[in-house]
Amino acid sequence: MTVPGPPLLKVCNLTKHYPTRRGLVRAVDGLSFEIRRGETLAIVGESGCGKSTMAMTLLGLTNATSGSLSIEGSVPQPISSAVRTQMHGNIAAVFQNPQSSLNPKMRVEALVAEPLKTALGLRSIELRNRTIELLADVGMGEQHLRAFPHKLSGGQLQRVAIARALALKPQLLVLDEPTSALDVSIQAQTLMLLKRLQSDFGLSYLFISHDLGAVDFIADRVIVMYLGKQVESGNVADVFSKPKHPYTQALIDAIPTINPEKRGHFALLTGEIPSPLNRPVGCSFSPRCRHRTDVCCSTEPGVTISGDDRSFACFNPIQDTFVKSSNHETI
Amino acid sequence: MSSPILKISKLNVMFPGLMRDAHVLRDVHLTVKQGDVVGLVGESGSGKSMTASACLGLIPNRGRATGSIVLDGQEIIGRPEAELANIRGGIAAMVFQNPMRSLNPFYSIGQQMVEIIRRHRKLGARDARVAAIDELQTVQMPDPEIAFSKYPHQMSGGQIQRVMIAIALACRPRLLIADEPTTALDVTVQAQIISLVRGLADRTGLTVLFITHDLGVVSTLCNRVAVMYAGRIVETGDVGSVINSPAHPYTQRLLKTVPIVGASSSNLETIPGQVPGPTAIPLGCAFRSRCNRATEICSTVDPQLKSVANDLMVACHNHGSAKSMGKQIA
Ligand SMILES: Nc1ncnc2c1ncn2[C@@H]1O[C@H](COP(=O)(O)OP(=O)(O)OP(=O)(O)O)[C@@H](O)[C@H]1O
Ligand SMILES: Nc1ncnc2c1ncn2[C@@H]1O[C@H](COP(=O)(O)OP(=O)(O)OP(=O)(O)O)[C@@H](O)[C@H]1O
Ligand code: SF4
Ligand SMILES: [Mg+2]
Ligand SMILES: [Mg+2]
Repeated sequence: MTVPGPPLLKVCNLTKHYPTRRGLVRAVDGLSFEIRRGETLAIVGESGCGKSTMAMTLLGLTNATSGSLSIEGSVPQPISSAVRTQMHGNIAAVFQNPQSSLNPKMRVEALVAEPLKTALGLRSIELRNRTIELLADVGMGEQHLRAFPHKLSGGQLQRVAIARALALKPQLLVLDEPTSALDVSIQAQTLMLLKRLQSDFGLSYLFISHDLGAVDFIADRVIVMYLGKQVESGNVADVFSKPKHPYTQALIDAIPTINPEKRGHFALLTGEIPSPLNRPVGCSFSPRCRHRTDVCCSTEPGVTISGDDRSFACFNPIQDTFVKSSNHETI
Repeated sequence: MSSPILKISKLNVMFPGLMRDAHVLRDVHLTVKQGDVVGLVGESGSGKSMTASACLGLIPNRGRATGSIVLDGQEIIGRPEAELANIRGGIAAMVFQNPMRSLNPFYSIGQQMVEIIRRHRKLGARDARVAAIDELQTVQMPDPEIAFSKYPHQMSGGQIQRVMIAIALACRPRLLIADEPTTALDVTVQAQIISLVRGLADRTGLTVLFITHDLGVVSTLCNRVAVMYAGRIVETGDVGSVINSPAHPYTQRLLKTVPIVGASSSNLETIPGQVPGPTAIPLGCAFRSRCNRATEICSTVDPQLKSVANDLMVACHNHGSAKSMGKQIA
């Protein structure tokens, strides 16, 4: 579905540091990536590795410390100003908890109409028609117009949030764990809905999730982050079937399997808990890595680009023939 | 180690309404033995959180609860609030589904932890601080001392969730009720939390009621599972039996909706139709309109939870293992 031509968005060296009394929290540290038209780019990685922070800088909800942004091949600009000028109205977001992102005192109709009124100035019949149209796009009908949020299920609420996000016809939707608060059958419905909306409207998605099954289903490419940096990226099927970076392998090994025969066999990452305040010397993953060699503890691995849109930052990438090793603690 | 620590019988929770009453829980039965790790799963709105809250006597204001909940020998239903407050965080501790609602944005994580620990463990301020930092370490928090002095908005979603687990465990409960406690965690941290909880259950006999929609988590963590639908438990038993050969048609369909890495399909299974809302529970079986096994009796008689095999209870007129219909598990 990816459209050829310059990428919708090209981010270079995005950095966000939070100064604190105990030192600098390097939440995002020099992240570069591009999002193409009509594609879904997924971001996965350890809790606290900077995924939401990165999304918030693109949404203009927090200022990036540094970095540049180029839109459809335009001259790169500092991120914060590009977000305010060029991206305005072209990017919208859906978050994890529809319960807390939607005003409980407003009816569905008012919730969806709000951005149409304030940003587009639609009124009366036009406003109502467009509201109904948006709700229909997400699979909801006129019978929901008068409902308050507490009368709707989690999946329906998330549909309302998606309808609101689509109101200004954005080109890019940032989805920060949009399905993790939903139960599995509604997750499946929501993922299918997102796929349909993408092909109907040619949307690009930045999809942040811990659910690797959902990522595998919806995304074209994936970036794996660890401690504020990108450690691997590529086509989803390639990355998940043949991970190159040991952290990606650890993630895949930790997916809890539904198969009861295999329970109790999932690998546990051991070693020091990573800290964005106190990044290890050399490779950030080295204190926990089972492929570590001397160089890993002194030098930071650069990014290796290996054909097919694939890149990784590791001195000892996993070979294709690598078989799950057993020197990990298992439960 | 086999006496029930929690026994819920015929629990009903109802909210009176102007037009129609909302029957949020309908005859819930559940027995949890000490040391059990029970997974509670089911469609959104099926009453999982309500069941959990009821166990701690936390029914929202207008709600009416009937039936019985015996927690460690004490009846919860009808007990005065002052006594309930002692039970909460004492015998039983809860991790709530929405952490931002249980944490105060104006106090640091540490201040909130110390207050709760001191209330339940009779520790001095300094010891409570040590205990809090210890507990943050246990839940894999990076830089626990720094986390201690942070405010909630300075943490990531998954870090907040770990704080909630730390607070619950710091009270040293015998029953831990955790409502979707790992939804914001990546799989490696989730694996560590699972291992922590499993370890506590094995070593200290901690009993756990774990609400989740991740069937993989149920399979890895729990030894028992209860499946809810429209305010009722429709299937419960040993985790292996329920996941290998689900007997209730809802459980069977639920197991097929899970997206699996490497499945490379362009379609996901969904369960067509909708759960009936608590104000419109139909006559007969609540799953009927979505069920591919429904027969005549299903539209008139509401199936009750019955023992159908050793250690397996099901509420369905046409229950039966459907291995051939079950998901092909990778
Ligand atoms: N205002 C702040 N002050 C200091 N540190 C912060 C602040 N906001 C976030 N952080 C830290 O920045 C890091 C990245 O947080 P972020 O929310 O981006 O993580 P995430 O990848 O989205 O994690 P999760 O998967 O748990 O949601 C975390 O270590 C967090 O504690
Ligand atoms: N205060 C209330 N008044 C009336 N109805 C309520 C109240 N709180 C919850 N309900 C209803 O009770 C039902 C059960 O809600 P509950 O939160 O227990 O569901 P759940 O199984 O935890 O769902 P989820 O997976 O979405 O968290 C829902 O239909 C909900 O709308
Ligand atoms: S660079 Fe070294 S320590 Fe880092 S992931 Fe690769 S092998 Fe492991
Ligand atoms: Mg986040
Ligand atoms: Mg709930």
